[in-house]
Amino acid sequence: MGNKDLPMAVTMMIIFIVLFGLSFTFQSSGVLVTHTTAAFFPRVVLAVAMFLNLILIIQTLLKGPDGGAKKGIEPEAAKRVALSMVCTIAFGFGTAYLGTLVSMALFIVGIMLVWGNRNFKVIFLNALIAPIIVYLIFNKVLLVQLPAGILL
Amino acid sequence: MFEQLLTGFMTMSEPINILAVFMGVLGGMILGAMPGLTAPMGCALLIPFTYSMPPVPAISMLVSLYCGATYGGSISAILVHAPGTPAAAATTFDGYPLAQKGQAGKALGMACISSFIGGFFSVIVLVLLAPVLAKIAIKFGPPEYFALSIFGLSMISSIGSKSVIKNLLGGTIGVFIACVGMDEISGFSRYDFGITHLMDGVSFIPVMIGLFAAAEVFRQAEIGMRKVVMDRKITGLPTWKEVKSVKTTLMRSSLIGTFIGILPAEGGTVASFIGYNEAKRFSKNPEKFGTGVLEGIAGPECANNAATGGSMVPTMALGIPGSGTAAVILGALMVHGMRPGPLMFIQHANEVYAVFAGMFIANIMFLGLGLGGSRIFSQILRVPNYVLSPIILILCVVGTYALKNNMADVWIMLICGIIGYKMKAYGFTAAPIVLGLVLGQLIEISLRRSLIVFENNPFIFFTRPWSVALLFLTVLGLCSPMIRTWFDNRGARKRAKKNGDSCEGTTATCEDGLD
Amino acid sequence: MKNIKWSMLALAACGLLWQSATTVQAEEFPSKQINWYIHSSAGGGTDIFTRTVSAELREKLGVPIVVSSMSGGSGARMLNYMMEQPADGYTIVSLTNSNLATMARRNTEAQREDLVGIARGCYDPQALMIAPSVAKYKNIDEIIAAAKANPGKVKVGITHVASVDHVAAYLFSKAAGLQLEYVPFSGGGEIVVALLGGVIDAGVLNPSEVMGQVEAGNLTAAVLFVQERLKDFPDAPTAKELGYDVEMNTWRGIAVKKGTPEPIVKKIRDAVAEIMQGEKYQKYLADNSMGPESVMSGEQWDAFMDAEWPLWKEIMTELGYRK
Repeated sequence: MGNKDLPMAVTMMIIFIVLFGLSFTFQSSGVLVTHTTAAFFPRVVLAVAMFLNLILIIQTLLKGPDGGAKKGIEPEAAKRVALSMVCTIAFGFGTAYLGTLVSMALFIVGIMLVWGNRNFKVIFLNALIAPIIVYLIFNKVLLVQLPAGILL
Repeated sequence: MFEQLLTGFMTMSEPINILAVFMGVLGGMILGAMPGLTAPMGCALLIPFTYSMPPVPAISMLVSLYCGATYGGSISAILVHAPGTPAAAATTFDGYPLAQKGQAGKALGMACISSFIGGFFSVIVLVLLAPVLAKIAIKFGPPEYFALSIFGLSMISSIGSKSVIKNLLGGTIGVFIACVGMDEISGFSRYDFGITHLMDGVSFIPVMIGLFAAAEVFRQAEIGMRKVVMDRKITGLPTWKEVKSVKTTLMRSSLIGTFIGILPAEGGTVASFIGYNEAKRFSKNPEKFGTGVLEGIAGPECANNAATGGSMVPTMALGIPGSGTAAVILGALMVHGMRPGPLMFIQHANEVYAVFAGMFIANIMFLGLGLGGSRIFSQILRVPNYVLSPIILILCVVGTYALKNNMADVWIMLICGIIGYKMKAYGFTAAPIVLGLVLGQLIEISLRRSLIVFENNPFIFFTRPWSVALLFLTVLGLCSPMIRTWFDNRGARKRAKKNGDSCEGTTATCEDGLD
Repeated sequence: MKNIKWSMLALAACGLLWQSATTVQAEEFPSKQINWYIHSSAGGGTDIFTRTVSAELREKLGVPIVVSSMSGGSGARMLNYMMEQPADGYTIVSLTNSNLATMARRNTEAQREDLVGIARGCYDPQALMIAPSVAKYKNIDEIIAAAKANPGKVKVGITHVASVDHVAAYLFSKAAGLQLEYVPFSGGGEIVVALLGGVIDAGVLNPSEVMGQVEAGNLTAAVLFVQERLKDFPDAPTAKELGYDVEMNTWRGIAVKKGTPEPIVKKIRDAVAEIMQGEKYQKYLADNSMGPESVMSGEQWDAFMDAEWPLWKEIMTELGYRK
């Protein structure tokens, strides 16, 4: 036990099977009868994927539990990564509601705090300057309409 | 021809033209170095400004932007693991580790010199052989493209992590992701789950930015606050001896890149992966690839810039774009009243050769800017990661959004970033997935198109010469580690017999083939 | 010291942004930025057309006009977005027949009736083209004869299925009672390669895109889908001459959402009409091998679309693409 490849491979297998099943819902045209249908290629690819996954599962079972012996990362680091991801997702949502410029600034503050920076001068300057430069380049020079929420 | 080229150089020597090339190269390098901003986008932004310009500076500027951007992508790939252009994805494999070892200057210098050599070589080919080589592009029908993409896909077994099975699985998943969205043959949507954004499929660039750049930010989060990568000397350029040591790689990649560039459906991205893989295959020490070897930078970088000149071959000689950027340049040529095609070299000889001269100058210019600037670019590594990483991520987000003004792409990018970080713990790497995604659509379309054109005859792939040759190369490539082991062992046995020593089988190379 | 300088600069930049963001809402149209959306990616024909017009319109109306590409689902995303915006003239879209196809397939909630034409700007003839030196069938009579003798064996290259190319070829085959094999490609360039390589027998193309090959004698038109012969192809008959009433060509135009107040529509129509009659625009048309008849006023174009719209709905149903 303790081999983490196994649950992953099994999960992937289930996903592949579901996707394979979904291929039966695709539409097909009555006119282009001589052509291969939309489902043809995804099914081939999924079949190959399932075959490879099966080999992986067998390989893992034969290899036994030694794969699980790998050390995980320390909890402190894992927490940083997880919080960084939360910040990133919040940033994605923030662009739509708060606007891109504000979200960028908040994101920088968030990441720097999560990573343990307490030098507020650096945080403040980075959160102020970087977003404004990025915003100016994209919005004013490249004329990209960045999402604006209630703020900017 | 040489006379015309000389006239071209004379035309280019006018200050306005030189300035146009310089602006193009500089703008291209900056755009190229930013993740998400790509050469086609830069060219499209420039086109309205080129309306009022004479044709020569207008087209030279766009072409220079293309050359500059293709090189520029390597800068961010090497320094921050964020390939600025898709074609620079393969440069991260060895460029980033080398920069992390404190030799950013060497990595940047190598990328710049390789780009220059590849680019320069391809322009020579373009000038000398464009009309002849354009005929090869016509020889490539759907079966040939299928064989070529299978050849490209065969590389997934050797790039990426140590586990061959996981590389293959990753590649297959990449190919599957390419299936999402509108099926070009039947016109029906697949796996879109009712989301309009997915009807056009999962674009390759957001996935690539996510898997490479955003995942790296999370990896930095794992490390936590770190002052600087290297506080000592980080700026030494590669020595002449080091450049000379990769000359075979450079020659090989120049040829590969130019050839792939000429084919209309393929561009710098595929060229750079093949360039990397072949550099590894023919290397004396393939096991060191991925740890920061110079050949691993020279291979892809040389190939992707060689594809710039290559892709101009069909663009100029056939009127068929050789790459995404070439398509935009083709549009610009038409805006300026030129009709690219077989008569282009006769009807518009002056403009054409002036543009070629401009491409030569553009290559020389980015060599100068790149080598001179590598000292400045490397300073990025002096910025502490807790300042730099969030900036990289906001650039990824904004750049991805700018691709299509689409928030859905940003979400794809962020999800891929998280997956890219997580999957490493399970022994998967980004390279095979990205390669599968790049080639997936071509594999599917060329296969099914071949079946339509040749009335469902599956043997067509084995009866057309180019197709057979490419499939043979694929098989050879897949078997090469085994063949090599066999030769090595035989050599070792012979030597052992001669010397009467005990057999020391060199089995290091068979790790590639068997797991 | 350096930091202070930077912060000052940043503050100044902040002020600048604030000002541009809060332009005062005036009574008169246009009083603020106009957003113009296109469904194709940058650098394509629609993009160049849009940028040609928008650059001049910006000067005429005196407000910023920002052109953004909103690709996705062949215009579905762009049209859906337009439907969400108020009908006030500040949201403009570039429309092509592929968008009509998308609407006919009901891939978007928008329908033809939800749009008001500002002007048509491009009318790019389509033709069934062949490569005379390699083709098995050298003219349209041979193609028709071959297709009648061997149904489904004559291969015709098209750009995407259910596109204007496909529909043109399909209408022609239906009128002539043929059964053709359609080979979908991803772009005109690929069709040219396949034609020159002898992979397909004929292909539907816009001659304007491939004039280089035409001038070199590598490609020629077999039959045109326009009403009158083109001067570049004196020998190529129109479908009408052969007795098949088929007219299906690529067009591009500018439209706003239905319900936009009449005075605003009129103002944009007038401004655009003036631009399109201008020297610059006519040069753009000539450079892209299109005739001055491309330009149609909003009213004319609306009538034109009304005539074409039922055809699209009918064909998409026949081909099995209408949801």
